[in-house]
Parts: sequence; structure tokens; C-alpha cells
Amino acid sequence: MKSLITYLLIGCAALGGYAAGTPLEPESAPSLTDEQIDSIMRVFNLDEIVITGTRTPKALKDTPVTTRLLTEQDLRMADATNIQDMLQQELPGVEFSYAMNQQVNMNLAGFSGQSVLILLDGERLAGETMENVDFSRLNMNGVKRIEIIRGAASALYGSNAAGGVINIISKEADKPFSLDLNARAADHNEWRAGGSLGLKGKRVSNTLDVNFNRMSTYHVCLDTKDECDYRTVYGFRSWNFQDRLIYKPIDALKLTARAGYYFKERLYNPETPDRYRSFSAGLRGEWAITPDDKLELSYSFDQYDKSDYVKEYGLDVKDYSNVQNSVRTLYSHSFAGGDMLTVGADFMRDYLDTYQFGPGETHHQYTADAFAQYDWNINRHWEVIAAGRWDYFSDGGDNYGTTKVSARYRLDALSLRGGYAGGFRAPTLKEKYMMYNMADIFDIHGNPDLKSEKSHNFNISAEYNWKNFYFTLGGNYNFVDDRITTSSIYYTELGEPYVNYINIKSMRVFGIDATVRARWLCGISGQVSYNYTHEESVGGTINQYCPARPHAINTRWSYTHAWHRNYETEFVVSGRFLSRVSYQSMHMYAPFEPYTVTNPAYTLWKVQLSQLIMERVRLTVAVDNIFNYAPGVYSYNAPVTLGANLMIGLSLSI
Amino acid sequence: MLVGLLSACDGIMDGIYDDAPADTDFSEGITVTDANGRMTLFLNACSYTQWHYINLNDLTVTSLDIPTALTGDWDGQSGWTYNLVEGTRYTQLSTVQTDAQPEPESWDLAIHHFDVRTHNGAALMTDATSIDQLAPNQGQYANESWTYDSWTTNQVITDLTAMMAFRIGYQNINVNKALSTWATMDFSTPPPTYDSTGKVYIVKLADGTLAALHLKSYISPAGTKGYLTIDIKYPY
Repeated sequence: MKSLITYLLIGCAALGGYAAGTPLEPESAPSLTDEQIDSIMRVFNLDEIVITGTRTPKALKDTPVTTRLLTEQDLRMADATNIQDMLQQELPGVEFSYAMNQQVNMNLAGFSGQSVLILLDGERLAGETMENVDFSRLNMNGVKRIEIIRGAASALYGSNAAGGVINIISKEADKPFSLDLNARAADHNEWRAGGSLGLKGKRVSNTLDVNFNRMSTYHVCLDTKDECDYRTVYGFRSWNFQDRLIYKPIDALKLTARAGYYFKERLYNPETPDRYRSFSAGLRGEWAITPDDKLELSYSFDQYDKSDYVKEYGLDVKDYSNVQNSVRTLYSHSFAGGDMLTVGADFMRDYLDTYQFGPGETHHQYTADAFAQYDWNINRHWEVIAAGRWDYFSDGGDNYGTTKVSARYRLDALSLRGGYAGGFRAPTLKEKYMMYNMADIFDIHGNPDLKSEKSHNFNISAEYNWKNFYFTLGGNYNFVDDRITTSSIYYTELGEPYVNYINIKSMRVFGIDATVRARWLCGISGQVSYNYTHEESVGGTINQYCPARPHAINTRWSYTHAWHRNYETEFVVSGRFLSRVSYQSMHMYAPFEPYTVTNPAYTLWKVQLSQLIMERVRLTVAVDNIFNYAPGVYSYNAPVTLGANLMIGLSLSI
Repeated sequence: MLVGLLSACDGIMDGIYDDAPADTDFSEGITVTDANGRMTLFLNACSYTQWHYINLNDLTVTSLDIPTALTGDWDGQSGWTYNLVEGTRYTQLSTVQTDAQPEPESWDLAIHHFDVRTHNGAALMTDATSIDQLAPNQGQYANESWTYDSWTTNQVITDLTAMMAFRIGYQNINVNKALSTWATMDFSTPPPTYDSTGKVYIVKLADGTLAALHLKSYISPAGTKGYLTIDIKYPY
């Protein structure tokens, strides 16, 4: 045993080969030199540039805001189709579950999708279903990295960043010509095909990403018909196009134009499939006025539509449209010594037309905000960052102020971070003005008097490198005031039941997360991550979504070996465990009494072998759910699987 | 592009969508399509509280409400039965006694949403997906297995207000279970989903004559389920 531990600690250099990544000296001394620390930083991607925590580019190792980075390598190893697959495989404490009508809800360590801000290249996404964005829009084709901030971040991002921010960053063309094509087939007639074309000249570059997905409808809950929340997984097909054109007329000026289109058809009712579309576009100018002064100005348009296609009559009838027009500006100034001042302002028009309003009714509002942040590099050990923001919403004339302060202390390979961050979620137009009959069971009424939901997040974390290992340990405590949710059942004077959007007293979320990552010269790397979440609601309501499971573990181990300069293999084993969870639900009939639901624990494992040939062709064979797990009862938060699923993929890079 | 987008505060590309037709545009009635007994029935059967009686001889449709109360002596069977529906398992919760279902003097078929009953007749499903695919009637169905109407207490939905709790009210009444498979509504995971067999059904009327029925559509142009378009050949 001792020899095994020694072997693991000092590395498995004996296996040799063309190991990927930067070599890490296995005999690193306890007291590290700057060069050795830099080496560790590279191995664990800590010198990767991240932007989400501060809205300015900053090395991951330097940012005072705890940021989880999913790199291109993570994306490749996960072989994920969309953000949902990716986050579930990589992050403990992230769970996607169904809500009614098989719509998807995300839970990020105790916060539902409506309290987590999802950004695509820093821009918000229009549209929601049950307050979650359409996660299918966010496919992983053409994604360079994903940055995740857990906890509030409204002092930089405003509404919805009450429980976290997920920012998906797209690739830019970095070669004169590049073409990546990929395809994957899996069970249930699931197909994924995509391509990225990159062109780069001296001043101009363009990246076009195209992605197609489809899956046939299939049935689950074949044996236990009586208790399942769902019995059919509805087939779909989707297309996604994204194009980004970059022009640099001078070195100091970068202009980016982008346009995108997304289409999804879901076969919920085969005769009247649901259709979802988005149209997006944007312009962004980034000007380095001086080496120390940078100015950014951007305009973003995003429209998300829903329609029903009445197949027999060939009619495509729109019943929902959310349109967001946003203008943003950001200025940053670097001071001598590394301090940085960042100020910015945003303006947005938000328009909503939905079948959930009264007949012919539409609503819109303007939002405006201004914020400032100061990043203080005190010395080589300490860095403190503080920010404040003011947001205004024209509908109701509401104002909200939020602040944050974060600090980082670094000593050799040890970094400590901690801070406070305020968050809020302003009530949406839907929550204010909804008037919808819920399948003749009860009405759902909006509430124009809703207040904003406010959250306070306190967090601490530590990261430490030792030999081939990288450790992180973090904790956070959040309390949410005036949480927006639906009420218990009320009755009109005529005795008709209805629910109302209301503010409830508070919710508290406490979490711990820990990660160990390791990497050896021979190409073996691994990580184990654990998350604990305790979610506690105060006040009388029933959450319409499944709460977080208290314990979750994700792990991934890989072995990469270059047998020849033209032939490399990568073997990946990944798994996740989610603990049992119990929560209160409500009978949907009078007197609408609560009852306890318990969902069992489960674990899923995936193995994947990919072969890289001539550095251009990658053949991947994977078996997901290799232990053939099938839920006894398909509850809303049970994994959507019938058992082992063989996936075969092929990609070509030119 | 920028100017175009900035002016599109309420959205773009509206032209790719169709105007929402109103359900009131759906023309009800029976249209005779040729002299050989082919006709099309257009019927609004959205209501859960009505039966629509079709007379294939005089081509009339008569709609009658389902009784909700007992006004005289109880016949010992008519009423509404509330069931707890868990998948394929029905647990009877309560029964409300009502008057018997009223009927017109003369009728051949009755339709309630997707449920069908015959007037002392029987039905069977064929493999054909269009009446045009049927061979001329030369007595080939005489020895087939016909399904006669049977008494049900968990087929004809009258009260869906507690659908989310799977507590459904049903009318106690005869139904032809073969014919009623032509379209189905599954509410086991609300909101409901719909399906249809697309097959042609042969109905044997009380006088022994046959009719061929094909449910061509159960949707209105506005997408509302319960608007039936039925292709009929009578006599077949």
C-alpha cells in the first residue's frame, strides 16, 4: 500500500509516453519557487483568464471571486451536447429536473433556475419557461469555456444573479482556416451533428457554428405505471446557428458583430408540436484607449418565441414572445500597482407577449443600471475588490441597490478567498401580470405589487497545491428575503380556487463544496468533487420545483496516452452520486393539503474511449449509465434513463 | 441591421407565423361529398358535458346535456362516478346519482369528446387508414369479432377539474370501447397528451346496415383538441 501511495504522490512517470499537458515535476519540494508555482498554475489551468467574477479579464489564480472554470478539455471529456449535460457531469450540487409539462428546471446548490443568471458571451437570454431559460439553446458546439460563480453577483449583473452566474464563452477563430465537424449517435435515435468554420485574416475573422440535434420519443416507467411523474420522454429536433464576425481596424479597436438563430420542435403532442425559436444579434466595440484605459460599448438583441404548429392545417401560431434590447457600456482604468477601477451602465427594454396574459394583453418595461467596482491590489498576498450597483425598473418605478466585497490572500500555493455579495431578482412581467387558467384546476394571478427578491451571500474558500494535487474547500451561507413564489390556494368570493404570486419571508441556503484534483506525468488525471446543500424555507408555501439533494459527488478520471505522434487514446471514467431528498409537495385538489415526497439516491457512471488519429480525426465510443441504472419511479428529479446507452461519435478537425 | 433591430422593440420575423384562427371559424354539420354515401361530419365535441347524437339517415346532429342531478326516481345505475386514477388502476371514490342520459327519438351514433356509443349496434377496427382503401362490402365482416357497447363507470369523463390529483368524474353509461379507441387522451402526466389510431372503423347499426367511419382529425385549425372531422360512408 505504501508503495502505491508513493507511486501516486510522485507520479507514474514509468508509464512515460507522450503525456498531454505541461509536465509537472514529481519531486516538487515543499517550498515552491515562483517557477514551480507557475507550473502548477498551468497544469491546473489556474492561469487561464476568466472574466465573469469581475467583468474584466483576470487570471483564475488572481481573481478574488471564487470561480469554477470548465475548460475546453473538460468539455471534450464530458462529450456533452448542451449546458445541462455539461454541468450535471462536472459539478456536484447541480441538478436538472422536470417540472410540469416536462419543462426543465435547474437547481444550482439550492437556487432554482430563476435565481441563476445564465449569460452567453456576457449577454442575457430572453425567454423563459417556468422561469428557466431554454437550456437547449446552449449547446456546447463552439464553446471555449464556461465560468461559474456560485452565490450572488447582482452588484455586477443585476437582477437574477441572486444565486449564481453561469457565463458561456464562445471560441474565436485563431487560425487562417479551421473546420471542425462532429457527429454522434446514441440510443433513442439520438443524433448530434455540428460544425464550426473559422476564418482569420490580418484584421478580420469569422466563426460560424452550426448544430443539429434530434431524438425520438420514447417511453419510461414501463413497469411501475402508477407512481411516475412522467412516462414519456418527448422527442425533438433542434437547429442552432451562431456567427461571429470580428474586425480590428486598428490594433486598439475590436469590433464584433454576431447573429444567431435557434429552432426547436418538441413532439409533446405529435399533431401539434411545440416550437421554440430565438433570434439574436449584437454589436460590440472594445477600444483600448490607452494601455491602461479600456472602453466597451455593446448592443444586444434577443428574441425568444414559442408557437404551436397545427400539423394538419400547416399553421404555426405564435403564443409567446419575449424581446430584449440592451445597450451596455463598460470602462476600466488600470492604475500603477495593478489596481483597477471599472464603471459601467446598462439599459434594456423588455417586452413580453404571452398566452398567460389576458386576451390581447402585452407588457414592457425599461430597466437601467449603473455600477462601479474597485480592484485593490494591496500587495503580493492581498487583493480586495468592492462593487456597488443601482438598478431601476420602470414598471412600478422600483429601485434596488446591491453591493459586494471580496478578498483574496495568497501565500505560495495557498489561496484564501472570502466575501459578501448582495443579490436580487426583480419580479418579471409574467409574475406581475399573469392571468392564466391552469387546466381548469385553478387560476394563477400575477401580482403587480410584488417586491424584488433579495439575497445575501457570505462565502469563504481555500485552495492549495501540494505536489500533483490541487485542493479546494469552500463554504457559503445565503439568506433570501421576500422570495417570489406562488401562494397556497386562495378562494374567490364565488369559491373558485386560485394561486397568487407572493413574496414570502425567507429562505436560507447553506453549502459546502470540496474538490481534489490530481494530475500525473503519465497522462492520468482525476478529480473528485463533493457538495453539501441545506435548503430551508421559512413561510407558508409549497415550492413548485424539486429542492437540492443534500449530498452530491462528481468524479472523473482519465488516462491519456500518445502511443505515437499520430495516434493518441484517451480513456475517461466519470460518475456522479446524488443523495436522497425529501420535500413537501401539495395535493392538487381541495383542500390542497401538503404531503411529503421522498426521492431515492442514485448514481450514474460513464466510460468513454476516444482515439485521436493524425491529430485530426477523433473517434469516441462511450457507454453512459454503464451499470444500467433505471429509476424505480420516474419522479420529476429522477435521471432520464432506461439503462445503459451506447454513444458513438466522430469528429474531424482541419 | 442595427437600425432594423433597434426599431424591432416588440420583435422581428412576425411574418413567419400564421394568424391564430378562431375556433368559431370551425363550421359544424354534415356535408355530403358524393352520391355514394360519402359524407363528412364536422363536430365540436370539446365539451365534456354533452353527447352529440348523429342520425345517419336524415343527417342531423342533436346535442343533449349530460344530467347533473336526480330529479325523479333513480334508475339504479345512472350517475357520475368519481375515480382515483393511478395509471391503469381506478379506485372508486364516490357516486352522484343523476337522471338517465336523455336521447333523441332516432339516432345511430353518439359522440362525447372522443367517446362513442352506438344505438344497439357494434363496431370493429380495420387496418385501413382511409375509407378509399376499403374493399366494397361483400359481407367480409360478417364473421369478424364485433365489439358491442358495454356499461362503463370510468370512460366518459365529465369532470376534469381535479385532473392534477387524478380524481376524475365519469358518467355511468354505455360506450363502444372499440370505436372509442380512435382518439385517446392521456392525462396521466398532466397536461394531457393526445393520440389517434388513424384507422377506419366499421359500425354495424341496429338494423344490420354498416357504416364506415374514419376520424380524420380531432383538432381545430386553432389547435384545440375536440373538434372532430369524421369521414363517413353510409351505407357501406
